[in-house]
Order: sequence, then C-alpha cells, then structure tokens
Amino acid sequence: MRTIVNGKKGSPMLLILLVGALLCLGGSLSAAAEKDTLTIAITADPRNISPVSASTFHDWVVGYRAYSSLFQADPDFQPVPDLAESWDVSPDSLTYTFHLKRNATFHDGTPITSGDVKFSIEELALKHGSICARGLATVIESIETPDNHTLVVRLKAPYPEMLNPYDGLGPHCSACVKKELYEGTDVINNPHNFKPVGSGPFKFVEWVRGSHIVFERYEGYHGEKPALKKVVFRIIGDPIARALAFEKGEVQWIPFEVPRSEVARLNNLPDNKVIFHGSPCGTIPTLLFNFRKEPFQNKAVRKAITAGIDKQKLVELVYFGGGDAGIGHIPLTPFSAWWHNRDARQIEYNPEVAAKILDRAGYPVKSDGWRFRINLKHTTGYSEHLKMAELIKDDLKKIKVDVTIASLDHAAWHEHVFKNWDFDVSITPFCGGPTPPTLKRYHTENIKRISWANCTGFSNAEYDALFDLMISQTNAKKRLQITNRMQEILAEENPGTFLVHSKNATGIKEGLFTEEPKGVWVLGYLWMHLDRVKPTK
Amino acid sequence: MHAYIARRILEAIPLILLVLVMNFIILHIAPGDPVFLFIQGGGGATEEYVQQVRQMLGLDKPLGEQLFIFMANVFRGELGFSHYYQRPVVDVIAERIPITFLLVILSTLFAATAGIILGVFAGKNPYSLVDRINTIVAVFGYAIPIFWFGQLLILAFSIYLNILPTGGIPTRAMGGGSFLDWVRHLVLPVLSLGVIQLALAARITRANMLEILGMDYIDSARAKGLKENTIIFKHALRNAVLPVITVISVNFAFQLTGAMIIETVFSWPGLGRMMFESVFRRDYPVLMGLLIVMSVGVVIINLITDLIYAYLDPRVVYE
Repeated sequence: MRTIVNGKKGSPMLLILLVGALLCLGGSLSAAAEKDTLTIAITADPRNISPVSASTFHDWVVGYRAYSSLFQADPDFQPVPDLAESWDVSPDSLTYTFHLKRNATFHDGTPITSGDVKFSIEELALKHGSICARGLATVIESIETPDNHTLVVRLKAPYPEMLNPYDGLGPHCSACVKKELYEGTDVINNPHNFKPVGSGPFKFVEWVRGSHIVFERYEGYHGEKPALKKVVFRIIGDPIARALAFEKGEVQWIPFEVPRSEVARLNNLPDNKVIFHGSPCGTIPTLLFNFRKEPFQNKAVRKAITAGIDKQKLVELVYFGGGDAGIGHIPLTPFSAWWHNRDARQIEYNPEVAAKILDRAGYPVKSDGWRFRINLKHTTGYSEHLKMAELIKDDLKKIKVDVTIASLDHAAWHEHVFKNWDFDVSITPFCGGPTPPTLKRYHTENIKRISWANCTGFSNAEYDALFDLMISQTNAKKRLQITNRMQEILAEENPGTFLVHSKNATGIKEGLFTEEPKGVWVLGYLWMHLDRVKPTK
Repeated sequence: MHAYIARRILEAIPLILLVLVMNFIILHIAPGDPVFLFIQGGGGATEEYVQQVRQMLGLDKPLGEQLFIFMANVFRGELGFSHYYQRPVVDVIAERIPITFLLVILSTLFAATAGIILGVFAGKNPYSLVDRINTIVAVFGYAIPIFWFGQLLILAFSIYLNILPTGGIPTRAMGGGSFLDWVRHLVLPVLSLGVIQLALAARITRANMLEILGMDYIDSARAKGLKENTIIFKHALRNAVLPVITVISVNFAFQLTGAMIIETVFSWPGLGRMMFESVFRRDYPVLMGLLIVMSVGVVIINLITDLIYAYLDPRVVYE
C-alpha cells in the first residue's frame, strides 16, 4: 500500500506519524485549557442540580455547589455565616432570627430576599427533603419575614439541632432557590432544577448528561470570591477508568470514591495522594437483624452472630485497612465524639463464646451439622458488600450457622429489605449523620416501608420515650445522659451491628491546589468549600 | 423498490410492538421499586409522601392499565417522563442518540474496512506472513474481552504513551470540541468496540477469498490477461464481501450491546451506558424508550443491508 503525500509517493508510516503528531498537539491544547480549573470525578449524573428532592450523594456533591444556605459548616462542624451574617436565639430556644446579608444576589443578579429563603425552606426542604423531615419538619411552627433581610423561625418545641449543619437550617434544609422561578410550579419537575439560577459561589455553565457538568466562578458572590475559575465534574462510572483518569491527571480530585484496590498503587506514583478520612455523614456497613424472623427475636442469637464475626478481618481484607472495626451504634466522626458512649458494652469477636451462647440459647448443632440456616441479603450497589458477605459466611460457618448469600441489585435489595422486610440479616450502608437525631433509625415510629427506615422491626418503649425526650432537650448535660442510656439499650438489644467504620478514600493531585483551610477536602459532600480552594502557582 | 421498503417497514411494526410489550412486562415484574430509589435520604419520609411519588410516577395503577397508557402514548409519539432524570424521555434519549451511533457506526466501518483489507491479503497469500498475522488478529480479537482490551488500550496510549485521553467526550465549555479533539476521544473506544467485528470480517473475507480465487471465472479472468488487482478487487472481492456484510449487519445489535460495555469503560455518554444505569435505577420510561430506539435501529440497519445487497449483487432484485 502506498500513500501520496504532497504529490510524492510516501510510506504509510508518514501518514501515521502525521496523525500521531496531530493527536499529541490536540493533547497539549487540551491541557492548556485547564488552568485555574479543578476537575472532579464523580460516579454518576446527579438527578438534578437543585435542592429539590436531593437525596443521593451525587445530588448533594454537585447540586450544593450552586447554592448558598443560611449557614455552612466550619472545619470543626460548627455553623458559620453564609446567607445569614448573624442570628439570634430567644432565651426559650423557640425563636431563631436570621439577619441576611444585603449584598447577596442570585446568579442572574437579582437580590436574594428573606422571601426566597422562606420559600426554599417551606416548599422545598420541608416538603421534599427527607433529612429535614426526620426532625426539623416536625418542630417548625412558622416562618416569618418582617422585612427583606430578616427571617424569623418559630418552633413548637426546642430543637437543639437547629444550628447544626447536618440536621438544622444548613445546606440540607435552607439551600436557597429563587422563589419567582418555582412558585406555583411543579417543583420536582421545574426546568430550573436542570439549569439552575443559583445563589452560591459557582454558577452553572453546562451539563452534558453522562459526560460532565461545568460551573464557573460567580463574580457577584456575596462572600469571598472563589480563586478557582471553573469547576468541572466529570462523570466516570467505571472505578478503574476513574483511577486511570486520576493517574493521568485528567481529573485532580476523586472525592470519597477512589477504588480501594487502587489506593496503594496510586499512592506509590509521584504527585498522587490518596487519603482516608471520615466524613460528617459516615457511611457504615451494618448487619441488620430482622426481628420478624426466627431466630432473631432471641437477643442471645443476635449477640452470638455479632460475636462470631471477625470485623477486623473485614477492615483488612475488604477495606485494605481504610477503616476501623465497627463498634457502637453511631458514626465515629470527630463531630460525634462528644456523645459517643464508649462505656456501652461492646460485643467482642470470639467464636468459642458465640458457640456457647447459641448452645445455651437452645440452638445446638443438629445432625446435619448446622445449628440453623439464614439468608444474608446485600446490595451489589456497594462493591465491598459481597466480599464482606462471603467473609461473614465463612466466619459463621465456624459456629455452625449456615449462611446463604443473596446478592441483589440496588433496586431489588431496597424492595426486599425496606419494602417487603423479606430478609434474615442484611448488610446495609448506614449513613445517618453525626448528630443524635440519627438515633431515630431504631424508633418504633420509624418502622415503615421506606428506604433507610427501621426495617429491623426493633421496638423498645424505653428507647422511644428517651428519643422523644432527647430531641427537644436543650440542656447539654441531660441530653448526653439520655443519649448514653439510648446507646446502652442498643448495645444490649443489638438490633444491628456496625461492621466497619469505613473511611472514605479521596484522591488528590498534589501540588496543583492548596488544601487550606483544613477540611476543604475532607469535610464531606455538603461542605466541600471549593470556593476556598486556590491553585498553587 | 419503494414498495419493498414500505412493506419491510410495515412488517417491522408488529415485531417492535411485541418487543415493547414483552419488555414492559418483564421490566415491571422484576423485583425493585423505583419509588424506593426515588426517595432515599435519611429515612425520614412519610408513607403518604411515598404514595404521592408513586402516583406522580404513574406506578399506582394496575400493570395492565400502565401498559395500555404506555402503548397509547407511544402511538402519540410520547415516551413519558424519566423517573431519574425527571425530564421527558424523548429529550433524554435524543441527546445521546448521535453520540452512540457515532461510536457504533465508526467502529463498524473501521472493523469492516480493516477486516476486509486484512482478509483480502490473507486470502490472496494463504499461509504467508500476512495470513498468519490475520489469524492471530482474528483469534485475539474474537477471544479478548472488550472491556479488558479497552483498559489495555487506555494503559498503553493514555498512561504510558500519554497521547490520547482516557475517556469521555470533548468539553465545549473547556475549549474542546474541535474535529481533532473528537478524533482523539474516539480512537480508543472505536478500536475497542470494533475488535470483534474486525476479527469476524477478516476471517470470513479470507475464507471467501480462498474459495472464490479457486473458481473457474477467476481463472478465465486471468487467462484474459486482466490485471491481478482488477481480478482481486473487482471480480473476487465483490462476491467475497457479501457474507461479510450479512454478518456485520446481523451483529449490529451486538455492537449496541458492546457499546454498553465500551461506553462504561471509556465514560462515553451514550445510550448503552444510560441503559446500563437505567436498569439499576429501574427507570422504566427510559428503558422502554431505549428499546424502541434500538429495535428501530436494528430494523433500519437490516433494511439498509438488504438494499446494499441488491446494489452489490445484480442477481438480487426486490419487487
């Protein structure tokens, strides 16, 4: 085969070289366009770019970049002003008055008023936000707007989490949309959920579904102007493709979702750093027992199963050391340390003791070699869960409990576990936040056929009464006493057991951007203060 | 010819309807409730809210009624509203059709062209070096899992040689989107998706060329003193290529399936990846819309194949 180049006969090699050179040139042009831009890899498209019914990691991680809320979190998870420059709390803790900034504007340049914030809380967060629904929605009596820059929130009963960035009027429950664009519309299907006119530091530019979402700096932002010019979210579903794009430098940050099998390899390459860190949310795989199924009504059985699982092995073999063996019933984050009851009795790994407990409880080894058979259902939506299920099966075999693993895709698993309550034990990714309202998970009122509700069927009158008392208790000392007792009940009754306090694996390209102030990278999906990230030049 | 095309299209309609009805039923009776995926968050939602969302998604009605409404909407040209994307299915799919068909058609063209060229030279020179290379390429191409081949290509061209992107499409807002930029993003996915078809085309062309080059009419052509290239490309290849076209056409549906894998490996925002994700999200309206697009696509490609057949082989006449 011969090729004509410039009228002369040439080798095909010339053509190949030409194409190669063009491809390389294209590469350098593309790289040049990426200055002042942070490219972040996420695993899937968000449903929308809006606080309306935001409920998945991707909705939050992308959507909340475009919005301001009354307050944000500082690196110590304390509230810091955002749209509200200050606030007052009445002595009886029933009235919160927020004083809004006067220079805050939406991305179309129009001013943000207290009416916009009121609308966002009442019509979006309280009606469609499930985080708000579990606490805030039940205590807010009214919201008033005496003027354009004052918002008064009156409560039916004191709510100590009111200023908490997770459960209070932070990003989850007061992300501000423009009332004029939403009022009188079907808010879930409002077109501005996809082309937002936001209120935050970054302005929406482009969303090519399945490919990328681009934000640019909003020059009229009411706070300190972001140093980054653009933020690009690239959607890379395949974990290995994500790791390779990070290795090549096409993305500079993978928040929380570096494949664990790739961590060691990436850390050995120059300029790459993968850090393990907790988050305010804490995602904890938990083995839940179904109280409706024999033999899990028996407390001794639940205790024996827990004692039969080597959680440290799960940390090492499944999470490659990125976590701690599960203890307690609340996420272990720096923000929950104040109320974590370390004195509540824990069940240690001990297969011999587990076997004896089962013998005493009336479950001896039968002629077929097993004490009893159970099914373990897990979602394939989390790659670690199947590996954990296999190790648990192996562990429980030692105490003669036969486990059948049912691997279900995420939708089917939701249906089996939360809708039909059709499981013996299930590995559930627990993500309930670092604050005491997370304890509502095991409340009797929460036994309902809804995702992430109390699917175990565990019901304890003392626990319920303590929760109801705790949720409006403003005296910190008394509150701590109540939550301590609640944790003791959970340790005793053991409706579920945390398997691994898993940490998130975040990949960062070193030397390109500052990581100051502390916590920019590690606080979590809601509190990624990308407006404070600065390119290093 | 026009009557033939019209008849083929009419014949395809019941087939597509059957595909839709069967898939509608299969999808809806499979375990997994889209409402539970729609409402997640912290578990604080009420059962009334769940019912409200079920109603909004039209999933509160009996399955038969849902099917009836769906089919009526299809005839009106409406494909419903995506549960996940919260947008009309037509819009969701329309923005991805060009990107998938670009990938599938380019990979098919690449596979057909390279495979036929390789097959011709192998068939012309049996048991030569070219023939051996053809055999190796064919066995390798047919045996290698395409997702792994894709990852190997990324390692070689993106990580070690650093000349091509690891995946994705050009980002217009970032100054991308030139023709060259598109070429750079297309090279690896096209190679990966085309590798199986290339292997098939190469092997079939070789076998046919071997058979045809031994026929009497080829000997006659040589006796007449025709140039070797004319014999090969005009007289032999024209006959040898017909079965290749059939195979490539039949495999078009497999190419769409392969796109599902390749689009995931290369973060290519096409229909295949959307279908893969929509299955897990139980986004019934999007899945049904995709099935319509893919069924119609396969029918059209088969029709085009038959027409190409008639063009290449004068003995074939459609009436």
